[in-house]
Amino acid sequence: MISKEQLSKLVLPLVAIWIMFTLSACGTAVHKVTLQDNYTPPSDTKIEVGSVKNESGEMFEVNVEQLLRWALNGSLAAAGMRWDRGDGNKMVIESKIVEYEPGDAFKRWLLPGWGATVLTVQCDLKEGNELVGSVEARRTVSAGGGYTVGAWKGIFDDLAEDIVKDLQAKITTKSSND
Amino acid sequence: MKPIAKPPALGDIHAKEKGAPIRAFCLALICLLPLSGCVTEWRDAGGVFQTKETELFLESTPVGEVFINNQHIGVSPLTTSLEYEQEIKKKKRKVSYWRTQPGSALAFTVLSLGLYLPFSAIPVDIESTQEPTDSFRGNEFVVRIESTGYKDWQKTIQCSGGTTAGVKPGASRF
Repeated sequence: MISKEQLSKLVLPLVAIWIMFTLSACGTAVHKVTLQDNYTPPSDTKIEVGSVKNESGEMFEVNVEQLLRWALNGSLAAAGMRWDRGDGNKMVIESKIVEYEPGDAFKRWLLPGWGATVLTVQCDLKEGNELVGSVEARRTVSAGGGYTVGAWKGIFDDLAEDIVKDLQAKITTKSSND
Repeated sequence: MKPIAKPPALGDIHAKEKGAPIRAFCLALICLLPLSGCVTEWRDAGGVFQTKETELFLESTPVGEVFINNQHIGVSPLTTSLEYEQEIKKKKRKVSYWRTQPGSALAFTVLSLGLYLPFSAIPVDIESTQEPTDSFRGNEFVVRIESTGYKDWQKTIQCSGGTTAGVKPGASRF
């Protein structure tokens, strides 16, 4: 049996970890980039953000298409992969927002899982008019307190970062292998 | 004289102590398992069209100019990709946090000294699925082959999600 003394020693670290948990964000991230088997992207491939459509079947207070466009452009620029006219091989990423839930930070703080922020995106990768690959990405923020207040917006940046990292890895790997 | 009960051996006590955490863990697991089953009914969340591609291999005798939907593609034999869209049905339901994030749910339960446990059964988190359907959009392609001195050959191809399709018009077309 745990004595009172041992219990009191346990409580403080547990409370500290609990506070840490409620301050930090907790969620899932699933993302996958698939390139056609017979397609090898040139190593100088740069990406242009094409159409971004909201196909979630819902209307939102915020312009979700614009948020995703900005996030993708920002992440691509940060990775040095954004296409500027006449600069390397051009690939276009056309995106569809399949699912979006803005969520609620207060609900998340009250009960983990409640008020989750969710974003699911599907993208086509095109070179000219030809489909060369696809992207599927999903992110959720389902628990946490203070730090998740801006998750409704931040989730776009995080998801864009996931996509760009995957693209960068895929393009580098495929170009160096072939 | 009343017989004195034999004290348990030290080894038995140690064995019991060792078994206690395992029993507690198993008991906790049995209690937690039903919590992951707390879900609501799936509800329809609309559909979305996803781009699909089927590779078409086209061979003809004699060779001829190939047109797909009145657009010149090239001279046979050739391989080209046909692009169309497949409908994906979306479904959503509410589930307990144990289902979506069992590790975090367990951590919350331990850290809250069990306080979170009764609330964790409430299905509040979102689970969604996407299922491909047999519904397609823009999946009909009119293939025409023109060869000088021969009658045009035409066929409508309907793609339904396959990766490859082949067209080999026979000599009877002439």
